[in-house]
Amino acid sequence: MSHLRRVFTALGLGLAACGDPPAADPDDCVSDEAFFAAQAAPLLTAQCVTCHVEGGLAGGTRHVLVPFVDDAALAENMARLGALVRDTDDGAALLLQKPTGQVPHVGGARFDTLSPEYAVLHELVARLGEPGACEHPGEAPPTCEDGVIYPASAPLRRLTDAQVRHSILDLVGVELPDGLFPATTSGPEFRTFVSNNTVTAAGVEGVMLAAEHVSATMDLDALWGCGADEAEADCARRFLLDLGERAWRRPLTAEQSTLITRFLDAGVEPREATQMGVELIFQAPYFLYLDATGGEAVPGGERLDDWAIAARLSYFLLDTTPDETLRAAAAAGQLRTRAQVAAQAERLVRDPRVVRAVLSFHQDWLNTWRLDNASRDATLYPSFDDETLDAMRTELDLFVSEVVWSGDARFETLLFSEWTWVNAELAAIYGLPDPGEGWSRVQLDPSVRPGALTRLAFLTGHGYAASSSPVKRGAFILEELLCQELAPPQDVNMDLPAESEEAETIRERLQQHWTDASCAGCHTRIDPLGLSMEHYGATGEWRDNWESGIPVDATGTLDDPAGSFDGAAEMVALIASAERARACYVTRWAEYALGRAHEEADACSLRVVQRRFEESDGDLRALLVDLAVTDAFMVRAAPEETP
Amino acid sequence: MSLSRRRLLGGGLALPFLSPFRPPALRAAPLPAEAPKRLIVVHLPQGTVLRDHVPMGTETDFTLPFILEPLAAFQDRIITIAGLDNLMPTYNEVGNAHQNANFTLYAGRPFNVQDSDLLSPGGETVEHTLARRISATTPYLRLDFAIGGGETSDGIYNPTEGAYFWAGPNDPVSFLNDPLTTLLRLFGDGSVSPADAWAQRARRAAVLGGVLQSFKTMRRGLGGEDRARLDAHEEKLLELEKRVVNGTGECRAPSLSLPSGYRFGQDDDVSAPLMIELLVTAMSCDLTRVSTLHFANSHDPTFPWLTSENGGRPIVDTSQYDNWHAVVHADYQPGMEHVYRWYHEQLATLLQRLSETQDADGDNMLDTTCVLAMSEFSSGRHWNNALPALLAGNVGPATTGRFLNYMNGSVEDLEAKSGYLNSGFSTNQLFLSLLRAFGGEDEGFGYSDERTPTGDLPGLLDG
Repeated sequence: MSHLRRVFTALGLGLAACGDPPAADPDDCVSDEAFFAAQAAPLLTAQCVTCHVEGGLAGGTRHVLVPFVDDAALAENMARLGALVRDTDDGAALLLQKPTGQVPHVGGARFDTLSPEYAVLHELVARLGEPGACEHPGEAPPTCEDGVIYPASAPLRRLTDAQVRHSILDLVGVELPDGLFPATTSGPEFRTFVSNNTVTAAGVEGVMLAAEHVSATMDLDALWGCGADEAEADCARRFLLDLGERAWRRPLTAEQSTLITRFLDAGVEPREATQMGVELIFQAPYFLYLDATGGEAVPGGERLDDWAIAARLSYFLLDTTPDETLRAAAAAGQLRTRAQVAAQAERLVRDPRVVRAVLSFHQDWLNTWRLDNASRDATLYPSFDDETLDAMRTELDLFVSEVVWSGDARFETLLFSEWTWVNAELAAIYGLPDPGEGWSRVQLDPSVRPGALTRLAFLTGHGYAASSSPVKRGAFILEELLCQELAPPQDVNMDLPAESEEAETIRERLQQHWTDASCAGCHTRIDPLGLSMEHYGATGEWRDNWESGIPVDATGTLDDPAGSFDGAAEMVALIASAERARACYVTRWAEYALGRAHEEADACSLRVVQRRFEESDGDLRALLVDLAVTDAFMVRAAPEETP
Repeated sequence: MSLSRRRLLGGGLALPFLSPFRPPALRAAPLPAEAPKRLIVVHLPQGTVLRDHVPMGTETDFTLPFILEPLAAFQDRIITIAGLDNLMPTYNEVGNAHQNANFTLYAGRPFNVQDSDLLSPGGETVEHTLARRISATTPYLRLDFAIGGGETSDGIYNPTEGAYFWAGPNDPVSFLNDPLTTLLRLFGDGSVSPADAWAQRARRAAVLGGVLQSFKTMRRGLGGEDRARLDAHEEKLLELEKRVVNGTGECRAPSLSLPSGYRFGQDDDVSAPLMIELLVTAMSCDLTRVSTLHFANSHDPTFPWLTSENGGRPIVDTSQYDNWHAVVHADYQPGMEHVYRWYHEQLATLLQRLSETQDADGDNMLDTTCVLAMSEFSSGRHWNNALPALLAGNVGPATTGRFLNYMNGSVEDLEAKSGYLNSGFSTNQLFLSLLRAFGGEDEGFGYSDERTPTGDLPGLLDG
């Protein structure tokens, strides 16, 4: 068995997508030609040729192939690749670095270095570099080995607005009103990302106003809890030091204690000094930023210390500051092993507050920010207004909560459940009878309304004022369900050909687009997926016909996973059959948990969780626990040296 | 809330952190006498219709075309510029066309890193450089106002793709876009007595002193980017502390009237004059020397207030176009020019209000303020070449009342080449001229190499 086969068998991954495997025994040497035909050609066809072909999006680069139509084309392509194989960046072949996104690639990161695709490419590059060698030479591609630690980056990040609100409520019992603390930016990235929580000049004033609101409205007597014989100044000191330790999420240093009690020590009247101390505590970076303080050193990095793990776990799963149990575990040094952390995570995913994190994730994943400024054509949708949008958000939240909290919390249920919640307005959009006042749980037709992707929030968010948007919907499926990165065109004319006699429907207009090679590279993948959802209009309502009266054609095919479909239900079923869809969902959750885009160093952590997600048949609660015990979550790469 | 003024003042105790009233630490270099005192950058998004925007005629004898017509009363106070290239997107390898234009224009640099997950400009934007030079002693280093842009809970708009102005890499500026929040933040609610206001400042200064101390201790344990992030936060905090310590002076709030049902995120026709009034008032009492004003609804607005201007036809015909972005993205669509003209009507309102207002020194504000107005594109089809720009008021040594045409050919030539017609004159040259108009002795601005010329914009300051 070759090294590669061993690695991927050990990981439970097949090379099925890439044709027949190379010979299992080194004695049965596979020739370069046989390898090219059986493995390299399918990979290059699936991943490269759409753009790297004459007239294609990358037709102007040095890397241009011909379509693999016959043996001559195969030979021609291998010759062309052979000429490129010595192009390197930092000593590594660009042919390996570009498609994995290690150096900028307009086509985006196509696969990671632990993928079966990469293994084939790695062997291809090795064989091109040394033609005729039987066992491919060169360094073996990276693998994930048991017992090895894979540290990744852990940027210092500010808490989200909701995390601050939840923490303040839990710490001092004050509900922070809207309009003070700076709002977390909503956009395409998860709300936990560093970039959505920067502190601007206007924001820093909001932090101060929020802290002042807390100090002015907290119930000081209750918080002090003064004993009968206790002097006010002593209660104040005891309270401030205790709050400091809880709000800053680790034992205070002598310096920090002095800072927090400085107003008391300076003789300011205890009530005033407490308020000022509270304002200081909530404006300090120790509260506002989720730290990743390292403890025990490991190769290439350090394990986060107990307190940092406690905070990360708590904000990831419950969206708030650590509770007493977590703090006790941290104090006892019991958040070091995977078993210890898993035990805490198991406890937290059974706390009802886990729904907050689950809702945040799904709102961001399904792009509900797109509803923020949405408006609809008043003649087509006369009753559509901001309340409709709010109702759509509520529906999605209720749907997700039900799947995850009262339901079986499985990925498949999220994608296929036929149950939802409606008020009178949403019922009308769904074509259901008026349910009367308030919210009602209703059953939809699963052949028409399977799961989250056919709920109104998603369909409306990925639509326009007067029409659907097959492009937005299709791009979502590719990017967020299959993790295929689409490089946005910079200098491409993206105008859709106008409606005409030859092109009366959106399908025909999009297909005219495909004649332009620079569009076809992405749109031949995006459009069929989006068109499968064309039975849903701009607010998600069902329709049999397009605006022009022509019956909707929602048929399409996809290469990977391979299959054809008619309508959203069949399309979703095809996508959901792919292991990569579940792997992608895991990757997105990891990004939410880590507060950053996934990076190369996460690959082994992700592999483990992705495999376990397969084994658990897509159990979301298990996924959250598994993520919490990855190296990506528990270990950080050594920080950069600073002068 | 009760507060012991005597305690905070010291009252016999030695409290170094409670002595907030100290002289300003920052002092700007003296400006040349003729230099403008302040800068306003007005950003007009999504390009324009060039053939209705570029004047016909010579440098000093020209007529203002349809889009610029609203500025006719100020023709001798403006410099109209045509034909500048923003070449920075051509150095980038990632990002979509909007991120490429928006994040590079005023920074004059390619992205900080070529990573589509971490898009950010290579440095601070030009108005921030000027803010550090001319606005460091005012209560606010800068103030940023947006018209529209959505309604967040705190009345502050944080753009994602439409982030034009940056205090540094990874440090985007946020905008006041709710007139009421703006009023309260900048001018207070007027109900606090002077004594209470003074006591509140003393107390805030004391707390902020402690907060700043905590930044110093936390910083010690951090490396690289984490430390830079914390430092960027600390810098904002220092600004806040300075404002608290020095006070914001006497500044009377303008009176605003908000129609019922007004939605600040969407009703730009109402928001524009309100935000202009707030901006002019704030600058007239020297709350800051640098402001930006940004029309933030650039993707989905429908401009219903312009339907009558457009002969009763909606500006965004939703039976044909998905949104405003799709309209400007297409070839010329009748009616587009009304939007760009409306932007310039708002610009005229700004100039009008400046010309009617005196600053704290008793000087006429238009005489002492430099206004720069421009877009990131010359056409909504993502053209980064042939950008028009407009300077108004006090442009240092430059004579106003001129039209400077740097275009390499006609608008028709540009159309024939789908916008790919470089003039060889860059936006970075304009920004260098701007720095010099304020007395700067800079040799260049932003990124340059053999493809991107350095030097200022010939004929601007010396003409």
